[in-house]
This record gives sequence, structure tokens and C-alpha cells, in this order.
Amino acid sequence: MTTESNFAADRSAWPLLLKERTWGQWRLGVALATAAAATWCYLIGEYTGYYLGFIQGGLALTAGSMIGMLLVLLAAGPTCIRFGIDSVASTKPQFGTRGWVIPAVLQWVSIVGWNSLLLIFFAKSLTQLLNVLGWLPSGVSGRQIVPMVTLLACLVVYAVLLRGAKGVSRLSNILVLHVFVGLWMLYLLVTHRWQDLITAQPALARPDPLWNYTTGVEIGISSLLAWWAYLGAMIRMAPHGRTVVVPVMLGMGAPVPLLSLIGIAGVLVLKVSDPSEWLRTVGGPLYAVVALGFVAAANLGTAVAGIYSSAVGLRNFSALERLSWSTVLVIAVFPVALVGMLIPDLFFARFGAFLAMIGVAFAPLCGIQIADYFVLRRGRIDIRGIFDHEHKGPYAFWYGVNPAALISMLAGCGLYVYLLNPLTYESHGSYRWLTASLPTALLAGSLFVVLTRLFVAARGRGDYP
Amino acid sequence: MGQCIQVLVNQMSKQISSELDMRLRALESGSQQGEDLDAHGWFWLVVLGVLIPALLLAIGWWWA
Repeated sequence: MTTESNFAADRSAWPLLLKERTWGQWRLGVALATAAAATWCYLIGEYTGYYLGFIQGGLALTAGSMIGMLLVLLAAGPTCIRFGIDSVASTKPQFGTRGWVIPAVLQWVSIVGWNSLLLIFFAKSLTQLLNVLGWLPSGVSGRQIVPMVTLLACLVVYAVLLRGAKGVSRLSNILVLHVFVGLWMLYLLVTHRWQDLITAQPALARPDPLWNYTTGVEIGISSLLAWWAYLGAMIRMAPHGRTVVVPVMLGMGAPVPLLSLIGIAGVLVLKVSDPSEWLRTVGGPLYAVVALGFVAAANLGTAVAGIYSSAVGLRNFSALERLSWSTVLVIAVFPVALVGMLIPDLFFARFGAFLAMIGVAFAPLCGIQIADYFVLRRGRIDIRGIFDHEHKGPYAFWYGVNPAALISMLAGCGLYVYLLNPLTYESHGSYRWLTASLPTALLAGSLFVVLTRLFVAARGRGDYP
Repeated sequence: MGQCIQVLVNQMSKQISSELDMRLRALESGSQQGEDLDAHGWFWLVVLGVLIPALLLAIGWWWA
């Protein structure tokens, strides 16, 4: 293999070879922590703080986050770790050589959504700070600043990612420091307002305490399920399963609940989750500048990891496989810039529905992947089949699509919406005991096993043992 | 011009195919596969993904 092809491997959806997978435990942990710790933590914390107090909210989010991370790692992890492929490619044995487009679209929508949200959040914080410092020229408002800052941030992300995975790793090594700034902000709020914090009443708490707690857990699970989209592209850079678990569970799973405490505390005490707003209240403009630096560093790191994962995922489309890396990056970044420039307020306001949509889509996907790898195939994956798009390939199923996966996915989504309406938070059945994501993943996985054994494997499709 | 572009695309396709094929052969031989989760990995997965959340859930439910 040539040096040139080594250089390009991390910018493609090709499987990586061992010698190209150079990230150790520490490097992977830093990259994942930088990706995970972003201002969505405040929004996640804010939503939890509507239903739970500070300590209970922290416990519920931590439990939910670790469960969500476990599901994602069990779903995409084994195939990505063994063969050095990304999350989207790992779905071909379940969805088929054409059906994988469904998870690919989910990944794309998820990453575009989250990153649009992060960059809009940053732009809004900057506008607010400029306003406080009196540096906002007269006649100029957030309506003009937000689109410009979003565009600028997209250009920075694009420039960093021209270097591929190396760009992600190098930036992470610098930006990971923001996690400590986040902890300092939490310390400030807790020490200044502890009494207010533990006596504060959540604004939307329902009379049923168990429902409130389960909702906190569900917010944690559904938020972390969104990491499915990011995980494969990152862990494929590490060569050993044993070095992946702890960085994923602690590097990616732990920062979210920890930094979400900032959002919970903010919304409980000061009725606002954005730290650049409440730090000004606590410590004046200097603290607000520090907070804004934090927001910028946090969101930039996550956006870089997100766009990288999205670009690698897009490479699975044969039409994009042949394009230059810079062109694929433009395709990955462009929608984020577009949302930030055209509909920032509308998008920001619909965050709750978006977060719920993530849970609806990714919970059944994880259930199907886990059932397929551990129950049906027992770890037997044909790596050539994943890249074999011929009609008679092992994962061709029927016209490249596995109906069992589609039916299970739809059934899972239906169950989720029945258990917890993502728009109104109206719940039914066993939601208050079981959450919505867990039964959804279980149903989708079980149904997939039954349908596969009865109809797919029985007809010799899908290369099942 | 159009022909040149077509030739270029075909050449690139060929390169991609041969490169991919080389990678797939290396992975199929097993020598270039990453190591699956071992006992150490499973231990931490169970501790961090099952036991700790179960404990936190129990505390939360008891509290609720």
C-alpha cells in the first residue's frame, strides 16, 4: 500500500487496517470527551431541570447517559472495532446493501441537526455578549450576527477537517481543556447559590415523582443514543476492543451528565441554562467572556467531530466515494450553514421535538443491530459482503433491502410514540417504569430476530448461520 | 473534454476498487482485524453500563 493511500484512508468509508488505527486509549478518550462536551449539555440539563431537582436530575441523567452509551456501543461498536468501519457501514448486514440508506439519512439528519443547534447557540451567546459589552453597533441585532457567526464557524470547521482524522485529534488535544472550565463554572454556581439550588422547585414537575425521575432517565438515554451517529467514525481509529470501552463509557458518556448539571442548576436557580448569560449575573462581564470562550471551544470541538463523522458516512454513497475530500466536506457542512443562516430561531425553538425524534429513530436501530450481531450472527460478519453491492451479495436480501429491519424499525418507532409522545410528553403504559427507549429497543430487536428466523434466514437470505 | 473526465472517473473507480479489494483481503485473512471486546472490556462495560446505572436507578426510584 502506498503512503498516499494510507493518508487518504481516514477520509473514506473504506475499512481501516491495523497500522492506520493509531489512536490509543488516551487519544480516543480526549477526542470523545471533546466531542461530547458541548452546549447541548445545558439544553439537556435545562429539559431535565424542568422536571427534577439538582441532585435527582444529576442521578437520573447519569443513569440514562450510561445506559444510552451502553446501547450505542453494543450496537455499532463490535463491527466498527473489528473491521475499522463507520456506524453507517455497520448497518449493512441488517438493512441490506441498499437499505443502509435509512440509517445513513438518520445519521445525516442527526448530525446536521445537532451541529446547527450548537453553532446557533454559540452565535446567540456571542450576540448577547456583544450587546452586554456595548460593542454591538447600533442598528445591528442578533438577526444579522447569528447567520454571520454560523457561517464563520462552518468555515473554521471546514478548514480543520481538511486534515481528516488528524485534524479532529489535534483540535481535541487543545479544546479538551474546556471541560475543566465547565467544571469551574459548575463549582461557581454551586458555591454561590447552593441553598437556592437545593430548595428550587422544577417548573414543570408532575405530581407523580416516579414519572419525573423516569423522564430524566429517558432524556439521558435518548440524548446519548444520538452518539450512534458519531461513534463508529471515532472508534474505528482505535485497534483494540479492550482500549475502547472505558474511553467511550467515561469519555463520551460521563461528560454529558456532568456538564448538564450546569444547565440543571442554571434553569432551577436563574431560570436560564445558558452559562454565558448566568455567569454575567454571578460574576460580571469578565466571567461572561470566559463562558463565551467555553461555549466557542466546546461547540467547535463537537462540530468538528460531527462533520467528520457525517462526511465519512456520506462516503458510503458510491456517487460521493469518488469526489475529493474537500467536496464531501462542503456537502457535509453546507446544510449546517444553511440552517444557521436561514432558520436559526425556528430551529432553536424546536429543540425538544428534535431531541425526542433522535430517541424515536435510534432506539430501534440499536435494538436491531444488537440482536443481529449477538443473537442471530453471533459475531459472524462478512466484511466483503458489506462492500459487495451486487445482486447476489450476502447482504443483498431482496433488491438490497431487508424488510425485517424496516418492519422492526417501524414497529419500534410506533411503540416509542405510544409510550411517550415526543412533542407533548404525554405518556402511556409502562413508561413511568421502563422509559420509552428501552422497551422500543427491546421490541425492535426481538421482532427482528423473529422475522429473520421465520422469513429471512428460512429463505436463505442475509448469510445467516 | 467529456471523454477525458469519463476516463479520469473510470481510472479513479479502478483505483478505488483495487485499493478496497486489497483492504478486504487483508481483513478476511484476519491479520488486519481489530481485536474484539475481551474479558477486560466486558468487565468495564458491565460495571459502567449496567451496574452503576442500576444502582442510580434504584436510588432514584427509592427517592421518588
